[in-house]
Amino acid sequence: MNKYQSLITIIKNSVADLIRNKLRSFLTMLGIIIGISSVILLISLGLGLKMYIQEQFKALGSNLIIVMPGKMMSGGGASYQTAMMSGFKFEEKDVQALKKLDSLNTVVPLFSRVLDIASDKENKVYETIVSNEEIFDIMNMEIEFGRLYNKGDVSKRKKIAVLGFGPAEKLFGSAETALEKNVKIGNQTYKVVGVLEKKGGGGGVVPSIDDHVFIPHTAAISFNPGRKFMALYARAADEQNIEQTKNDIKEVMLKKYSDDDFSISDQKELLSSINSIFDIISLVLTGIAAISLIVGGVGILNIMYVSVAERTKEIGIRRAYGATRNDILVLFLTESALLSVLGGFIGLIIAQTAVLGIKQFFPAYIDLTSIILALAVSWSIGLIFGVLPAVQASKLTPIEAIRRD
Amino acid sequence: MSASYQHAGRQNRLKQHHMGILLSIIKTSLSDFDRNKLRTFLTSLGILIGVSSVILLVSLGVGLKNYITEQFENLGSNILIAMPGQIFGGDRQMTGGNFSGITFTEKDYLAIAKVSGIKAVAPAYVKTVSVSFEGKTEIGSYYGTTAEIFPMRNLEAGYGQIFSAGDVEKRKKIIVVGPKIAEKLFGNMGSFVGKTVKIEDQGFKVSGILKSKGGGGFGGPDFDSFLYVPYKSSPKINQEKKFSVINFQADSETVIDTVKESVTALLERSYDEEDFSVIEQTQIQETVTSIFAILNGVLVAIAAISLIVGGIGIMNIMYITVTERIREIGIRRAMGATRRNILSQFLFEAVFLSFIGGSFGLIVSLVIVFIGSRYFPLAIDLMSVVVALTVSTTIGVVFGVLPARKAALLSPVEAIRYE
Repeated sequence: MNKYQSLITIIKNSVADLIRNKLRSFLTMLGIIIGISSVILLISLGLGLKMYIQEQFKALGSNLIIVMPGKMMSGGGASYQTAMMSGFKFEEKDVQALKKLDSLNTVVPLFSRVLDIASDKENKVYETIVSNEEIFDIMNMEIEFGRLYNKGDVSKRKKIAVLGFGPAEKLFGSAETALEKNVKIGNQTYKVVGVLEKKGGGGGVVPSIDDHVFIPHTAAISFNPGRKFMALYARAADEQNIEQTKNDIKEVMLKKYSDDDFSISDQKELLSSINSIFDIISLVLTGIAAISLIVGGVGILNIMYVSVAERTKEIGIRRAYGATRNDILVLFLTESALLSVLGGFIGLIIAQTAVLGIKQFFPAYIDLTSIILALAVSWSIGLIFGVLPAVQASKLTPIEAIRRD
Repeated sequence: MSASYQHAGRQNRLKQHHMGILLSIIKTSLSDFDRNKLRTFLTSLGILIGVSSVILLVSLGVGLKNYITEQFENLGSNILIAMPGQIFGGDRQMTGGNFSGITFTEKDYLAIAKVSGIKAVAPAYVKTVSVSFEGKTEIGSYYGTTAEIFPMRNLEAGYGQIFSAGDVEKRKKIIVVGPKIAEKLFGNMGSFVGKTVKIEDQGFKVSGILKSKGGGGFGGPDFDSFLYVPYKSSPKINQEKKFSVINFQADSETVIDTVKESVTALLERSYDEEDFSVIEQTQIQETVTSIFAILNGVLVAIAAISLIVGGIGIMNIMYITVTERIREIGIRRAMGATRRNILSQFLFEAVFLSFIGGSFGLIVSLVIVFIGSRYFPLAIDLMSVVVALTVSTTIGVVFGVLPARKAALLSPVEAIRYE
């Protein structure tokens, strides 16, 4: 009998044994199924969220540089708020100064606030972005219906608004009907001249890039009386030269402000700090879910001991017919690994199905790594928790084993 | 009289009978466990792992909540804060993104100080700055304020002294340094009182270093890492004497609501209603606590999955036990045991397995909490103990009932014949 054939026989034997004890095999697998599906589900939720955020950033282009008030402490985050609280803001003059730089293509000032926005039938809260006509280009936003506001609209202080797809749909029933209607933002009335193309992403609890409202900064004096901006978005002319461009910006800003008053960051920095936060959260959740895998593994250990005890006679007979200790070890290890891998596989299918459902409301994504991880982990659990019972089985002497009742 | 006597006697005998059955059930279960020591241990181990991870996460939640509460209480009582923007948005959630960017003025501060029912007012201009000392530069939070901040927030000098209202009026260029930033800047602390640190090219003489309040993070302000400067002393850093927040303290708890209303009305004269908010410190505390409670709930729920897996393990083993003891069941039934007796025997065994696991899980978590609480905020309350024992008992019942039912439904004749 060659090796290949003997492996087939072993697997056949294990399958037969698993089928003989259907209920027991099912319940043992169920532990692994639950464990694997919850781990994979959590990983895919974390991954989906991370990819969603990455997409939002990538949509802005990798040559985007953001100038914000205040000093960024390592990693950013909380300090953005202290910067806002210090009341520090940029002015139109800063935009003009930066525009003189050759290394920058575009400079767009931006002021944003979460405001009540009302149509004649609905009232909802959206982030309102107050900027100039170049904001659409820098955020890669395209028009779907109507038109974007242009330079002329900005200089004429026209009270017009361009709605993201989300607000247009939610406030007016359908995006198309929003055109030429009025919206109330704060206590001012603006005419909707355009609706942006749907970018997708987000949904459910995650805010979407489509959920913004844009108005010209010259027409937003009522809630931005100082005509100041909380961020400047700039696009570097040369993507390879981001660091140098950042230095150029710094030089210009230092002429007017102290080093502590502003900070310059690019996409890469922002992304890496966001990624590291998500990685930690995802790791903690997955770690806790993995406890159930260990409990499932203990279940396998328990059942395999029972199985060895029940089949002591069979083991004795096999040994008497010439099976080596090693053969017995492999026989039982195969059985436990098979149980566990099968459980892992079914768990994976359940997780995949759940992800398909969840996707409608929340970003979730299963990648190849998760699939390999699920199978590898379930396989190792079968081996690790199967080894003790299998060793016990292999150590039985044939005579004692046959005699045992 | 005698009838009721007889009745009582029968009840008594019945009770004894029940007790006898219960005792015999316990005895059989125990001997069965003894026979299958390893099996019993492994089955309970699943529940043990599940219960202890759930309890540990719950105790982390309780510990964190206590810690946060303590932190906030340590920061003074009856404190209100006026700040720009709507901190609590429409749904009473922290919205963060809604900073209106307004700042308060010295006039606002002086007006609030005159409101009746207010004990102390400390406005503050907060800004992230680089601070340097003898060539070493660190990033810290500049906190331009009045002398009242110290008593209001229970801040005391560990070295040197805090600045006084007089120092503020005299525009003295002095600074009180929080212990966290002091340690980063000076290495050790004591001998640096009187030395000069530089912020944005301005020199400030170190008047004192605060005693540590500990903590920070978790949504509360970290008073250990602030650089306190009299607000009048830094015309270059805060030219217009504006403030990012105004802290004030009500005379007593009973006047908090009135004080809050008066200050809101006062600020509404100068600012749009949406552009600022006046909140009680306890509101922030509640919000922070509830956010952590939600996070903790998610973690506990995920950990509870392992309890279900452990329960399935019990079910599996109980099915095996029933199969192994079919003959015994048949004999018992033949000797007069009812289906009910058989059901309760196996159900009891399942509950016992689970309860043992739960109790040991509890002990394991108690030990871990006892050791771990030196390094982490961990606390076990009576609630967790009760929950651990109830949950593990319930798991025994839920996952034990099907196998027990199978045993109970066996017909005696078939069971005895079973090979």
